[in-house]
Amino acid sequence: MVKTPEELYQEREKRINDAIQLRVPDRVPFWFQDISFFPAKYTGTTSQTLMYDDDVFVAAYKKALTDFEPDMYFNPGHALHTPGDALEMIDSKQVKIPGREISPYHTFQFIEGEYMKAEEYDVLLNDPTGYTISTYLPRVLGAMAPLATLPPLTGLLLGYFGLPLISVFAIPEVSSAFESFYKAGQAIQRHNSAVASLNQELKALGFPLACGGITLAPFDVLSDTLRGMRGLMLDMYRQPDKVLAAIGKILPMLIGLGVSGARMSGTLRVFVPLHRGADGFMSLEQFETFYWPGLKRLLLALIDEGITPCPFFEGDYTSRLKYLAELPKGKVLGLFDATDMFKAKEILGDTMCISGMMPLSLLQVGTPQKIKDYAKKLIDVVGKGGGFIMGPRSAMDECEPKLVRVWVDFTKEYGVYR
Amino acid sequence: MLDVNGFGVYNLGVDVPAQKFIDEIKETEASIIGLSGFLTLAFNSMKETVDAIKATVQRDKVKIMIGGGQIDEEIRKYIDAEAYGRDAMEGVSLAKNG
Repeated sequence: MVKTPEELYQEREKRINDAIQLRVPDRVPFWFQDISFFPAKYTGTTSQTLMYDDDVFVAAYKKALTDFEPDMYFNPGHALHTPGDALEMIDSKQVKIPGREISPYHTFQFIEGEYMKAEEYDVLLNDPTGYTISTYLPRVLGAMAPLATLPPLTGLLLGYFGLPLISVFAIPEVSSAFESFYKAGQAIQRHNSAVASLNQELKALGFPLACGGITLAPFDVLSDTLRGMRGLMLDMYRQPDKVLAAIGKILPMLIGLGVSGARMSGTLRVFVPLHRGADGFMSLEQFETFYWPGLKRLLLALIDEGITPCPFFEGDYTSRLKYLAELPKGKVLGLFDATDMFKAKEILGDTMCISGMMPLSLLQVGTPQKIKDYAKKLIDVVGKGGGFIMGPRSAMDECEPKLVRVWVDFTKEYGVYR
Repeated sequence: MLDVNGFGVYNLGVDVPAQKFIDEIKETEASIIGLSGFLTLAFNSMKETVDAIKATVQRDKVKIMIGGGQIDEEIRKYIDAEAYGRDAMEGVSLAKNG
């Protein structure tokens, strides 16, 4: 008997929740965590087209997902973030775009830099909004450079007596900065609405959305987008108190971001991609002091709101597993990359569902037999007794479709719990 | 890390074409070549680079090591490098142990 999309949706949702809550599902679920621009490769289009053409974007993701039928799917909105035309309108300095600086076949790249200077912690702490408007935005968005000339908007607290300040908005450069915001905003709204329709359609076809919201660990915000990796590494030695204070300052905003995304979408799972806490970026002592407390508070706050956080522990977290084991049982879905599968199951198996771990090397240049052997090992070791969701280690943009098909078919067949 | 550990390092930068590797190997007579690639799109360009080195430089005169987030034994074999390191420190011990 053929199942209806509603039945399939409930069946997949149950399978996922059984795995996450550490019960044994009917079979090992699978998904394309970090699907990236794989749909471009799969449907024979370019990354560039995906970033500029909403219709092609929607069609490519829909085809990839309906052909492979994962038990839940990575939000296409989190794979792309911002469409190409909007990025051009605001003149983002932090991105290389396919077809512009890089090959049309490659995904966009984030350009890290020291956008916040070492001496600017006090301003960030005392007036984060003012800092964002008058200093940060002019540095990272070319179209927003004129905002640096605005007087402090707190002048408007003078009420009637402060109104003459408004004349600044008539300065041609300032006005055109807001015009850029408006145009980019329209482009982003257009794209978001295409993503929302796609998500509605996929739901109607029986596929649960994995994560409705997205947020970041506070250390990663400071390291990725503000001080840069080198800058923050130096700050940990030179001004550790400021680093910790800044983490505490931005944490409420990050919690709010995750919660609002989840509530607006109705899917109470939130994706948290992590960067700088992995082995190799900092010592265990630094992890314990600077990285873990802010992240732990974020995850616990999301859990308190009834949300399942889905932190992506990219890189190797084998040495950090004992910290992850501090989290409440069955409340977190951990996405893993290079972490040792045996240690992860041993130390974390009773705490959180483990997702991922399938090497991209095999999915890109491996053989069908090697793929089956490795998937079997993952299912036997990590999938023992439940608590495992099959997924790729990281971004799938270069995966070979034929090899992905072998992997998916094998997982569905071998992953059945008898 | 290599520099700090006493190796002479010629840093070629990023997005380096295969020909530049070949030219630099000839000029510097370097015996160890390191290729760094984090994104999976680097695998094929690294393979092309190593293939180009094999075609023009005596293969037994150089040892090639690679590193980067998704690199593993499978990719080492695909590219035909001698070794891969999971992090910077491992790269140093690979270089020291030849």
